[in-house]
Amino acid sequence: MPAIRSLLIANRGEIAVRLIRACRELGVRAVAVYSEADAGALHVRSADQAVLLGPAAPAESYLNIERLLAAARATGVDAVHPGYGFLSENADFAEAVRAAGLIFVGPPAAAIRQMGSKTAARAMMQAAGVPVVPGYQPPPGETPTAQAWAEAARAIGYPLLVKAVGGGGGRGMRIVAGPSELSEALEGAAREAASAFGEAAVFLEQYVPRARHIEFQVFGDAHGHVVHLFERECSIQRRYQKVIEESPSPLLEAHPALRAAMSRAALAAAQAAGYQNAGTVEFIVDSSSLDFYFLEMNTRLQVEHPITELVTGLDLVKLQLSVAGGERLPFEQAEVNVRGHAIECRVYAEDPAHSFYPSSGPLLSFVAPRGPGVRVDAGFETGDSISPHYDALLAKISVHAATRAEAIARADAALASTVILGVTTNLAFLRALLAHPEFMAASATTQLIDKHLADWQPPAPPATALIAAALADHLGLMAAEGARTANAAAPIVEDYDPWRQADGFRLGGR
Amino acid sequence: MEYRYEVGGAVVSVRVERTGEGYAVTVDGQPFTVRVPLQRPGWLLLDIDGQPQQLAQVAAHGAQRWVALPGATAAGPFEFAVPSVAPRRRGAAVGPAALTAQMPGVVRRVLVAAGEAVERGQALVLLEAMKMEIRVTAPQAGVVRRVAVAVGQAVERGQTLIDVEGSDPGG
Repeated sequence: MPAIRSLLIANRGEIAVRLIRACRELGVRAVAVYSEADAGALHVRSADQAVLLGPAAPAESYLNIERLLAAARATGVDAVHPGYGFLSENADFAEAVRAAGLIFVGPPAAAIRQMGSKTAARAMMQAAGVPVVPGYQPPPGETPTAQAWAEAARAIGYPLLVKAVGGGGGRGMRIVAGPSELSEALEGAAREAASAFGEAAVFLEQYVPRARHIEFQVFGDAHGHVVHLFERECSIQRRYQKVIEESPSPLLEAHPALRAAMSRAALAAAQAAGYQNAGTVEFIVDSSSLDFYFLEMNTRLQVEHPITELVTGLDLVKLQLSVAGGERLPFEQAEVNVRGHAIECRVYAEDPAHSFYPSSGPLLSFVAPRGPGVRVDAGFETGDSISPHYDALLAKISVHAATRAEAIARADAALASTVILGVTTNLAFLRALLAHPEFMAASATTQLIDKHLADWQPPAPPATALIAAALADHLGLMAAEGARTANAAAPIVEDYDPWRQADGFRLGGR
Repeated sequence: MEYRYEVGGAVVSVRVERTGEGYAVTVDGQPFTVRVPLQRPGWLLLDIDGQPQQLAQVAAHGAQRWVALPGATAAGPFEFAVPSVAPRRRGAAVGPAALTAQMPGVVRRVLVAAGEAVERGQALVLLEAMKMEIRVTAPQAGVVRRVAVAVGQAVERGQTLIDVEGSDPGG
């Protein structure tokens, strides 16, 4: 296969910008696509070329296979990268891209399809000797009676989970505390699954208490070489949405034998799936027994890939492009090392004080943190708008330091110096998470937010904030829509000279 | 000059008076001596009662005000609103009630039409934003006076969706 020289990026926001950055370094021509709602967005401004797909609705734009292929043909690219979300785990899209004679930057369609079905993935993992959560799945084509479900549930034990076969992201999922709730949960999950995924089939799984979410980054090439790039711990979640991730996992740091067993299982899983390119094998770990179970495999680049890049020093996107172009992985397993500790905080456009409702609007000011060991992946700049049509992820703030304690301090300082005005975000909530005793002690489970921070309220504004507002209103300093603040790319104050400032600013003293 | 901001449901008064060196500022009666050694559109440097100077980033959108204090222990960003001149009517007020969007989003369905009688709690509009669906329900029984939005329309937080005139004096 020839090396990739031009790439269509079938995505938007921060991941599109991240992929364009890799293209720049490789001298690859980057083609962006966009919806009407994203005209002029950062990923459009950053690319070499941009193609309008259609209206804002994802089905008319980022999820529209025909229009994406037309854009690829029109721009003469030789490869397509799906990013994450949207069509990244759609086997039909991978097949259509390849059928059009283009390189799909991702795994074979068969691997995507197999891992897309939770029950098929479970069966494959069991066959490969990878532990799965004890559960019950009805044989294909069979509709168990209420009594059969109840017996299966009793055998597994309560509490248990009802999950959708085609599900993901917590949709079509129910926690069942006891037998009396079972039938209602089965019906509810099936209904939700049918409307969300077009498939009503559900199965039962044991509920793992005090669970930690630990996943392994795997990578395969077209020559049968599969490696892992160590783990990420993503136990800080809300409704199955990750909020803070770190690498390495503090739990596995304390239990090297567990890491060895889990990395072996991750490699076995990837090999069983005939895996190529970047993928992630997700596990849950019972933090008291240290038993681990396969959860699912994500057949794409993950949102949280930056922390793996920070601790391994590898560029996952460049590796993806090289492997997709037919190259061999340029290193052996033994050459992969982890250095220091990395933490990623996901900055969402949402309001943690009001049920985490998504927020949108004009980004009046966005000043990203800077400094040693700080990396920011953002899809927006000051002056952009956050659209209500898409995912609420505004930016990822990742830090790298020698130790976990230093990384936490660095992450907190980075968040404290981040300025986002005009759109409500979870910045202060992220700081509360970092400061939580369970997170500090590395003992947090996936229940941390629900159990301890469900009623979190932002700190009340100090008098300084009110004084600043009143003086800014008084002096006419408020940044507004359409204007750019002094910290943005294009400062609007040309004739400013601090030496002539009437209020008597003096260098080096007060 | 007096500036008023709504903070967590309460209105805070901030008075600003120019003095020789800077400003005398009172926040709900508490006095501060403030100098502004540096200012540009979007930010200002504050020297409050001789404390180490603090950078404040500021922005406004309509009646919303945003302040971030980068690097501070409580850095924010803090969001408050300039209260409207007429005090808000709360509780079981009879008369037209404007139902507003609790979050920005897209109108998925409008379930009623103008002139239609509605029950208390009846769903009137379905809003969707970022994969979440929110039902906007009638706060009281009454008659729909006006539907202010259409299916597919993007709405901002606080935007009026529907006016319902109450027919139930008990609220």
